[in-house]
Amino acid sequence: MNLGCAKIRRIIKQWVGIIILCSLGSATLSHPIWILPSTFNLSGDVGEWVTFDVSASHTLFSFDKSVVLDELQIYSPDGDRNYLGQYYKGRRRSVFDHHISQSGTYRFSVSRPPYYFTSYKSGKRETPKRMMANKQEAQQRLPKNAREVKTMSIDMEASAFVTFNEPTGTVLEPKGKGLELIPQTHPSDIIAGEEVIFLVLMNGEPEEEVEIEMTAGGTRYRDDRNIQIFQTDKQGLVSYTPTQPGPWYISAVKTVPLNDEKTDEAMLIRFITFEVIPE
Amino acid sequence: MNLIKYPNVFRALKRGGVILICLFLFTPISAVELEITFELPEIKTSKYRRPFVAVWLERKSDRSDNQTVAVWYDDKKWLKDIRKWWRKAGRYQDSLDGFSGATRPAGRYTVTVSLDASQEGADNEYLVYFEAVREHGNRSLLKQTINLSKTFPQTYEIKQGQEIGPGLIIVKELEE
Repeated sequence: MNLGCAKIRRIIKQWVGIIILCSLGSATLSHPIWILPSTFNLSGDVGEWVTFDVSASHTLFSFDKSVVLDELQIYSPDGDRNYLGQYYKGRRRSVFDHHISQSGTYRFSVSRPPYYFTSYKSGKRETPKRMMANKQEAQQRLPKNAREVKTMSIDMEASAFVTFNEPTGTVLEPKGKGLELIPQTHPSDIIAGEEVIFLVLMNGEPEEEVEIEMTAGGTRYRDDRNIQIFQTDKQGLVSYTPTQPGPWYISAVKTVPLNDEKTDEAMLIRFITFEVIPE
Repeated sequence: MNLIKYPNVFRALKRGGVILICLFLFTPISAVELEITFELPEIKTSKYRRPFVAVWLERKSDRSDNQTVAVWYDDKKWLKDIRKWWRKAGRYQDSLDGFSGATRPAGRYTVTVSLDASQEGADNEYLVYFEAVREHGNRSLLKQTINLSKTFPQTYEIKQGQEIGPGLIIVKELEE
């Protein structure tokens, strides 16, 4: 009897472990960051303040974890970098304000400094395990019998665009470095019932077979998350016709081998929050 | 059905006749005037504010030749709320002089615009838009296709929307 209980307990433990690991899969690693401006389009002769919420959450657009904004990048329509002073970092979201004063399109991007995790298997049961460590750190902490050791880095950036009066394209120009998700349809021209096109570049070249997901906000208030899943084509393009107006979220994910002293692979993730305007 | 082969003379005559009829029916009219009448409905609410209104048109085939006939507003800050007009026309205009004005109370209004009607086929079709948006209230967008290749005068009736309409568009040949 006692033996049986122990056995059952062990099995439960094992399964709980597996379930936790599964739920901690790529979704957690790509814990999405989003920037949501109070307004995407403005009009007027004088500028205006726009306020932005930033959070890392799986529910769009509900707050879960706040984000450090020290490295927030703001580009005004003339292509100049703007800088952020104070901002509020709460427990569940970060908030900043920016004065929009130039006619044209601004870009706001927040990136997480790359972080690393190492996955491996150990023990008789080949239990998959992972630790938050780069290649060098992992070498010191890995158990002796660790097998299938692989280190991955996560490089994540989230952006949003705000347009004051006439839209411009300076902030949409590719930099030619790393993974880039670029709206081909201008972000202030995304209309319910009309096709929206995004372009994915890798080091300035169109990148095919990049995983793309598009999701409308308000996931908390519906049963079906209704994620639209795509892959970029040979031209690096992906297109979709959203019908639901409101804020939307797009992600582009690409894993590339990157054999350096810290990692074996790099997972590059780019997010954009955009607004689908009702007709 | 057998293909009837006309002698050359007949064929030529027929062709000439068709051309003559065409010339008669489709004598190009260089310009027309649109007389656009619409209502801003009376809305009974304690929070009533006069609506922002835009009336504009564009060529239907390629959405070109966008022209604003009227835009009534009080602060440019809220122009973006005349959503479709702002996106299609407003944000590209350096100046709203000539067709802008202050907001108006409920009532019947008429605005006019002249158009070049010398295009051919589908290029001679225009879409006329009526858009109105009211603070604390709703937004209405109405549209009507007009065909400048037909005979004049023409009349188009615009149904009633929550914030604008009913309306009437009368297209008349513009006298030289």
